[in-house]
Amino acid sequence: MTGDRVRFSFDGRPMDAPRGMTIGGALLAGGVRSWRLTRSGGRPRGVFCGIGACFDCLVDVGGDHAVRACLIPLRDGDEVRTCASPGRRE
Amino acid sequence: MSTPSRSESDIAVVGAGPAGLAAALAAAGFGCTVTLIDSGPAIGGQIYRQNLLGADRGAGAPGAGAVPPRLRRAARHRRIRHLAATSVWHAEQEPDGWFRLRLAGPDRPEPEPDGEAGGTGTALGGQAGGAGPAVLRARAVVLATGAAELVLPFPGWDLPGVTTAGAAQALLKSQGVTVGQRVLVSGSGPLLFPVAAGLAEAGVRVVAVLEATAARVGARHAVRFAAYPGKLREAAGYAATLVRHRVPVRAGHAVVACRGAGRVERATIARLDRDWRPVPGSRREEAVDAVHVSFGFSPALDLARLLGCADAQHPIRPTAAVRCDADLATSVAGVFAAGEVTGVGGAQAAELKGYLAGASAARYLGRLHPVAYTARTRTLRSRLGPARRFAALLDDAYPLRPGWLDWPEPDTIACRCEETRWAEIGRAVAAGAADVRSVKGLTRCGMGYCQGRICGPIVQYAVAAAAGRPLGEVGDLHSRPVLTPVPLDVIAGEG
Amino acid sequence: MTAADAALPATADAVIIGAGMVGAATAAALAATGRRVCVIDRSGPFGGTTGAGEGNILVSDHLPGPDLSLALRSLTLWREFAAEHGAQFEFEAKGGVVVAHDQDQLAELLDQAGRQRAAGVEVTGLDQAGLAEAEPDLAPGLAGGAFYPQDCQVQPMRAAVAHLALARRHGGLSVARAEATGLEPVTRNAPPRLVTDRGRIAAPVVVNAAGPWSGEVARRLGSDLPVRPRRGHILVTEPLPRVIGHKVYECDYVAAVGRDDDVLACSAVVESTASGTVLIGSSRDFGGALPGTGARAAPPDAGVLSAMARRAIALFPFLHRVRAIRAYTGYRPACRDHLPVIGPDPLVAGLYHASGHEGAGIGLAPATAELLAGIIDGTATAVDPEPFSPARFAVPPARTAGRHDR
Repeated sequence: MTGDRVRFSFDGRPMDAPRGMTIGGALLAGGVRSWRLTRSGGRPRGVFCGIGACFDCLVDVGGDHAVRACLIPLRDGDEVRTCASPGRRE
Repeated sequence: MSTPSRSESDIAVVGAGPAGLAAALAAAGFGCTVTLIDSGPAIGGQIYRQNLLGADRGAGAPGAGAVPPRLRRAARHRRIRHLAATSVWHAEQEPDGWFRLRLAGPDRPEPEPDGEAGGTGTALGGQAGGAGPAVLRARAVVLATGAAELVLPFPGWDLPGVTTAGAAQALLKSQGVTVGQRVLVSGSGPLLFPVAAGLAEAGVRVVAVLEATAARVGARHAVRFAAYPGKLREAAGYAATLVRHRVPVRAGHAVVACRGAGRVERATIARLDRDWRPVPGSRREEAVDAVHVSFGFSPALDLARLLGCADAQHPIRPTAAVRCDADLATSVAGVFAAGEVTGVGGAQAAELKGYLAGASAARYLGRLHPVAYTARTRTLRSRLGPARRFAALLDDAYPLRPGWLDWPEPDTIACRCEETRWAEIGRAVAAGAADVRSVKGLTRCGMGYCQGRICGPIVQYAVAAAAGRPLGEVGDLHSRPVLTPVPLDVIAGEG
Repeated sequence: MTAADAALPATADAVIIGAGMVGAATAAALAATGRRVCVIDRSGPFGGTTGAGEGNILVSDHLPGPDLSLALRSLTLWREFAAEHGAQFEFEAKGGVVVAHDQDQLAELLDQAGRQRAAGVEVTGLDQAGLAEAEPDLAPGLAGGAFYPQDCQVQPMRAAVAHLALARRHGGLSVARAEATGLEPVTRNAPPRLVTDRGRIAAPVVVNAAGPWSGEVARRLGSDLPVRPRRGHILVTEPLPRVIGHKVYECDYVAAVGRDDDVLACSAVVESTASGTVLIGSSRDFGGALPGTGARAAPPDAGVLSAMARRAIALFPFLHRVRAIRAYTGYRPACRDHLPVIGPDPLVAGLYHASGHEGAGIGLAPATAELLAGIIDGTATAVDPEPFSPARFAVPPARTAGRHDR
């Protein structure tokens, strides 16, 4: 898709956002506040530090697992999915 | 897989905020070749945020918050190579005195230039991450790695919608995105005002700005601010914006708890005593959909530590800064430092230090004669004095007080990555772990993806308090031998 | 009150230098005999080698002899302790898979396994199909391997805490931050007094369980112990779904342990943990700088990390895009003849050693403690103490009437 909006999906739901946004920005702009479940408590997380330091905003997109949504630019056709962190604590 | 490509330059500047940009320009101006490395998509660091959407996309006025033209040249200078979306994951000094920096690309590699449209919209970039060299050798290094925000935990701080103040500012400036529509800005320090003002201008209802430091503490130092008319004007501008948008500012108050189902919906505001302990009976709740918190900054020391540079613990904050001499040389020959990593002082001080560090590195490499160095940096060095004094003033005016230890409850999250509970820290200390490293081993604090960037200062302060030991004697979580998560094939040298 | 401000008692029935796994297990064993035990450590407890290892309890990497006897006895003790407390320290009887790359290695491995089996170890040879079934994500093309069901893993720091808790339950345990600086020898009227930076403590039994610092401690206390720090590296990955079921390592690991030279020895060791991370080792060299010895701490060596990453990817190809989030070094207490040192010091009365376990300290700790307690009390021991005796290093003195060399 060309033009000034990018089409993507989040957990299968079609969305779109202005071209140039990060995945995190696009999700927030689309009213989504959390896209990750923590490993031990299954609790929701979204953006916390916004600058790539905290790794709270991890999201799955396409074949990439647990990438920082606040840093990664959104691309046309991105299939963004909730990152359910694997493994369990203790 | 192709074998790792190699690259060399006179100087490696790590960090492309004002300090790094200034250092690169100064060094290049004296004839040095510079590789400027930054993990972000464009130059500017945290303070000069590019509008990722292009000029007219509604993210504030065109060029708002963008890099000043005098620094923008760094991205185009013929002796400066800018590696964007690139992180240093390891660095060491080799026997010949050169420094070897190992580099990694972004979490998701950019597509090849001839492939589908990338669409980042950032015109001021360098080489796309992932296509650059995997190893960089340089004869000198300038550390301009900046600072992260200091955050303090309270019940519910891990709910979606609770972010740092810096995150709110970054999202707004770079993408015109807001996290919430009815928000509180809470914490301590000069960042609260610009963030709240920016949000208010963008149409967000800022219910209040809460500064934990009591008004009379600020008043005690008010007279000293008079020596910085530029700063006062800046602050007055933000204050005027807040007044215009009817945003109340409450000193001696803080958000001490949040709750909600799946996201923050209500925040508890308490009045604080002079030690930041919540005053009984003063709690009241506000309906909000975002809370932005900040308690100042913590210099990002991990690369400095890896290179062996000495640092100094802050007397009362759980932070430390790289130690430098008057020429911004660190304790390791050939490594210089500038900007917030040397001590939190703001963008202008960072830029001044950057120029000085770049010149100092050039002198170290023999590209600038010592006599010329002294002459050329005289004004710079004289301007650094007031900058240092201003940083000290901010420290005095916004002291961190220990009463925040009363905000978390036993099951409040202490380490966000590993979901360690607050009570586990106390239990670990009671079991005999009297330093940060032992507590980490028993509780997993600091063992997650972020490797203690967020919880490190929290745990250091809490362990020192629980063990009854000075802050500087319990260790910290600033050391990170792998500076950022990096794929094993990159470590193997085959990526 | 925390360890930081606990005062040093003036007397104890036993004082143990080193609050790591071996010190903690020794404290439990001596407290069980009714003794009042004081454990001292100059830095945070479990902050030494115990805090840097993978927490393995292995029989697979011990060759028949005193080493394996101690390991088998220790495994029994671990299982007994874990039956009641194992959940506290993530005890997992996961089993070990040792991998051979080619037929020559496989033949040697199976031969070694046969000898171990004859000495009481449970082990099954694995052909290529058996190996793939045991660990489906291993690289194809490996010749085979051996499966050791008795190998276990624990969270080492928590396991040390659990042993200290056991010592406390027996009564009379104190833990204090203090650094041993000397020993006032036993006189006709008084037991030895350990001199520390926080005062003196008189105790008839002083145990050197200071891990890689044991050689230094021995020197300070008037003796000599050929234990030196052998550095290891570990890479830790991001948390992953559980795809590696056992501790998996290359068969040249045992040879790496047994090397005497100063050359870097890397041998792949890969295992999952309860928290989801995968630990990647192993390396052995005598470089770096032991913390707390005044030398500047040396960060992990990128070349070593690179070698370990390569070997791990060669075993488990899926690891190539998995991210490492952390790396750290630890220092194993390596004894000159590759056997632990357990028993009375030949020169200094009242001084005992429990050290030199190289990379097997977690696994061997309970049997070490049990053996030492038996030696001190003169009671029968499950394992023959002689091969571990510190006297084996003593240079025979000039002929003196009545002296016996051991």
